[in-house]
Parts: sequence; structure tokens; C-alpha cells
Amino acid sequence: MGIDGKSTRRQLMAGLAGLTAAAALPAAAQDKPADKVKVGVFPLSSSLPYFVALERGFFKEVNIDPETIKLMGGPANVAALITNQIEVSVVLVMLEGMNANVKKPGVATYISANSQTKTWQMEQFVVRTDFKAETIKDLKGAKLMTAPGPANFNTAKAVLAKNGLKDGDYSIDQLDMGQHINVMKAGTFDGGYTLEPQATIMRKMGIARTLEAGLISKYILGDEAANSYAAGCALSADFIAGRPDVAKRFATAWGKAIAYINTQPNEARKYLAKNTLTPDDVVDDVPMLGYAMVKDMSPKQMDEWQKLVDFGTEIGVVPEKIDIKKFVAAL
Amino acid sequence: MNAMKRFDSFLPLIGVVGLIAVWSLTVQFKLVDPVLLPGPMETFRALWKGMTGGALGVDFAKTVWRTVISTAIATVIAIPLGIMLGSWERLYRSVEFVIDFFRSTPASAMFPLFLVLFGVGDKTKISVAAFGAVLVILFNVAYGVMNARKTRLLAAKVMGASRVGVLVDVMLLESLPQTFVGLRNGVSLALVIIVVAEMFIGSQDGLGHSVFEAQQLFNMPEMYAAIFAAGALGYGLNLVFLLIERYFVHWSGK
Repeated sequence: MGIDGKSTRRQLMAGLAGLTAAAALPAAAQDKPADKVKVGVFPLSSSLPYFVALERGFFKEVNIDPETIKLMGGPANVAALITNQIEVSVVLVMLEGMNANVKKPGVATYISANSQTKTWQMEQFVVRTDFKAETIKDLKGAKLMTAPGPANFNTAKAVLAKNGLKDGDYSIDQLDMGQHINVMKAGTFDGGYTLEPQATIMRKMGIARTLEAGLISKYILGDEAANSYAAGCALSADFIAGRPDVAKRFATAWGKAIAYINTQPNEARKYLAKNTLTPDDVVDDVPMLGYAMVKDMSPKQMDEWQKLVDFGTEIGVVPEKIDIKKFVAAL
Repeated sequence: MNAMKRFDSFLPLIGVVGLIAVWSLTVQFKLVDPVLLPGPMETFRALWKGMTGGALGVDFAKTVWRTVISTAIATVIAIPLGIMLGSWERLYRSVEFVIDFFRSTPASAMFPLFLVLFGVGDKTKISVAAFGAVLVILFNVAYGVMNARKTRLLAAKVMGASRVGVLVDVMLLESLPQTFVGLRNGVSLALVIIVVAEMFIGSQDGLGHSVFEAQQLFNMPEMYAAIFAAGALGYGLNLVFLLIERYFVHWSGK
């Protein structure tokens, strides 16, 4: 018994010491300096998960200290990913990212994608309030603008073509997004293919109305309910390979932000104010997107995603057919 | 001495050879990611292909046309106005602030205003470029007239030349060297504004559009080819004005 008693006491002491050590572990982990992650941020409404994760402390919870590097537009984000000046691009247009992947495989590896549909509005055709048009078909003879870049331009033209309008039935000019509201207000254009939050601002100002949204789903993917994954959050392959644990934790925080947006959209959209180019008075009206993590996507969703990228190949924006599964990470 | 002169005529090539050497070495040692910086040969191949039957040739021609038209409009407005303001210094002083203010304002900041005034298409691009060039040419012409050498003015007056005679035979000729400085600056500025406008305000063609589209698609050889074409165009236009100046204003600096 004596020997046994000593042994039990020893075991008990060892157990207590173990428990103490175990209890101290999270504190020790928290004492460890946070891992820096260089994040390219294009401050649009679709960058919302980043601001939610930042302001609700989701990055802090996983011991990540993101360094925000503001970069305007896809090419700047892709160039920064290629040169390792950033490790993450919070919102990268899918066709631009996949085009970059043709040039340097894996440079834009997506961990999540943003769906645009009739419900989750982003791209849409708008017309001046006083312009007589009820459907896209009525844009015959109209002077139109479009969001800039070959992807937007060719998508707008493809949607017009699906509505029976050929080249010459309308005029269309690419125009910097910053000018869309001004020129519609001035009546320089009759309408055009624009994005959020410009469309909401125009509607709120009473200068334009939406003819139809969710165009890619309906006209390009052929199903009004299909997810058009036109942009998403991309990590560089070097980041994933070089710091897999940090990349995984980044994705955990990102997933938590997406879950928060999907369950509490009204609370989430408040983070658009001050963080993005969305004016404060339209923050409550800007439509949300259908954010989804790659690891949660169904085969149907992946097929929809592939179909959009195939469209990019068809219009020459993605130079060759690629399998998107090679450029996604289910972190 | 002759050998020295022959060597001097090759001096401008040293910079070009140096640039290509630095560029080749940067690519060779992968100091910049090859996806972002293609080699000189690849770029020149894209330039040749684009200019001989490719879209770049068409874009080049469009930018030349827009730049020439905007410079011509600016010249027609700025030279007479500059002579008038220069010969009447008090009038120039009264508008000097406005000229200097808009001369210092980046023309690209004026895009929204010109878009609203002229809509899209060539009118906006040409008018905003002409606006930028007018101010530069006007400023130089006016100062050229104001700085006409006083001794020559006095000599003309002493010899009984009329006010119009003094203006045309002395002030105008005296101001020509400065006017050409203005024209060279004006055409360079017009080209810059046209290219920027082609990049950012509704364009289907032009070198700016070509750069923008190649950048969006990450077609780097095509992008650098378009940039070189724009650079060559700017150099060429400057050279044309320099040759005209040397031919017509042979008294410059004498």
C-alpha cells in the first residue's frame, strides 16, 4: 500500500503538473507573436469578409496579424501575388485569376468564391430613369457603357447577343467605374452594364433603374438560379506551400467571417462603411453576395464555377481551357 | 577629328544598347518574375507582329490621328491668343492665375467634366488633350512675345515701324523659338493625355486601350510593345517639331 500510495501520489502530482501545463498552453500559444500575412485589399463591397474578420477579431483568434495593402484592380493584385508582395488577395476577379494561373500556375489559388445571382446582385443592366426600356431587348439603338476590362466588355456583349442585339444595334463603350454615376446623371449614356454599389447608388439617387440583374447566371450559365462565381479570395501557391499552418488558420478566420455574413447579413454589411468605397448612406441597401468556402461547395457548385471559367476561355479572356480544381484549395 | 565626329554620331545608341543590356540581364538572372517582364526579343517580336498586320498598327494610327488633331486645335487657339496676351502684358497678368492654375492641374482630373460636356468618343479625348496643350503653348508664346529683345523692339520703333509692323516683324519672329518650345511640350502633353484617356474613358482603340487590355489579360509582351509604340510616337512627334524649328527658325539663339 505504502509503495502503492507513493506511486498514486506521484501519479497524482504528475497528473496535476500535466493539467497545469495543458492549461498554460493556450496562454503560451497566445504569447507567441502573431503571424503576419500580407493581404492585398481592393476596397469593394465584395471584400466584406476581410473587414468582418478584421473587425470582429476572427484573425486575432487564430493569431494572425494581417497587413492591409490597398491595391486597386485585378492586375495590381495579380502582379503583387506573382512577386510575393502579397500572400492573399481578398477579392480577385475569377477570369483574371484563372488567366494569371495559365501564365504562372497556382499564383491565384482560391479558398472561397463569391456567387452573383438575381438574389445576390452584382452585375446588371441599368437604364436612365427616363429611357424607354423595360427589358434588355429594348436597348436597341441605345448608347451604352460597360464596366471596363475585356471580361466585363465581352460579358455585356454576350448578354446583349442572347437578347437578340447584334453589334451595330447599339453602341457600347468601356468606362472606368468611377465615372458610371456621373455620366448617367449627365445623360451621356442611355444605360449600361454596371456593378454594385454603383447600381444601388444610381437607384437611390433616382437617376437610373435596374433592367435585370444576375445576368451571368441566366444568360451565360443558362440557369437563373446558378451560382456565377465571378470573384473570390485567392492565396498564392507559395504562401500555401511555404506556411501551410498560417494559410490554414487564415482560411479558418475567413470561413468564420463568411459564416457570420451568411447568418447575419444586416449586421455584417455595416462593416462596409468606412472600410470600402461604398458611401455610408447606401451601406444598408447594397446587395450581399453568396460567399462560399471551397471546402463547403457541392459538385454542382464546382461545375457552375467551371462553366464560368470555360466561358472566359470562349471569349478569349482565359487563353486556354483549364481545370479549376487545380487552382482551388479546400482549406 | 573626323573619327571623333563619326563616334559622336553613334552616341545616342549607347543609351539604347545600355537599356537593352540591363533589360536582358534582368530577365536572364530573373531579377523580376519572367511573367511580369518578358525579354527584349519577345517584346520586339510582339511589337513587329502588332505593327505589321496586327491590331497594334491600327491602335497606333488612331492615337496619331487623335494627337495630331488635338495639337492642331491647340495651336490654332494658343498662338494668336498667346501673341495677343504677350503683346499686352497687363492683360496677360490679369489672366495669369487662371492659366497657371489650369496648367498645373492634371488633365486627367478634368475627365469627368469633359465627359459630361462632350460625351464619350473622340470628342472628349481630343478636347481634353487640346485643353492641356493650349495652356502650355499659350504660356510659351506669351512669354516669347514678352521677352522679345528690347534692343530690337527699340530699333524697329526708332526706324519708324508701325505697331502692327513691330508685332509681326519683331515680336512674332522673336517669339518663334519659345513658341516651338511650347509646341514640343504641347504635343508631348497631348499624347500623354490621349493615351491616358484611351485607357480610362470609353475607348475601343488607340495605344492606351491596347496597353490597358494587354495589362488586363496579362499579355506582357503585347503590353510592353504598346508602351514602346507610344514612346516611339512621342519621340517622333518631338523630332518632327524640332526639325521644323531648325528649318524655319534658323536664327534661334543668335
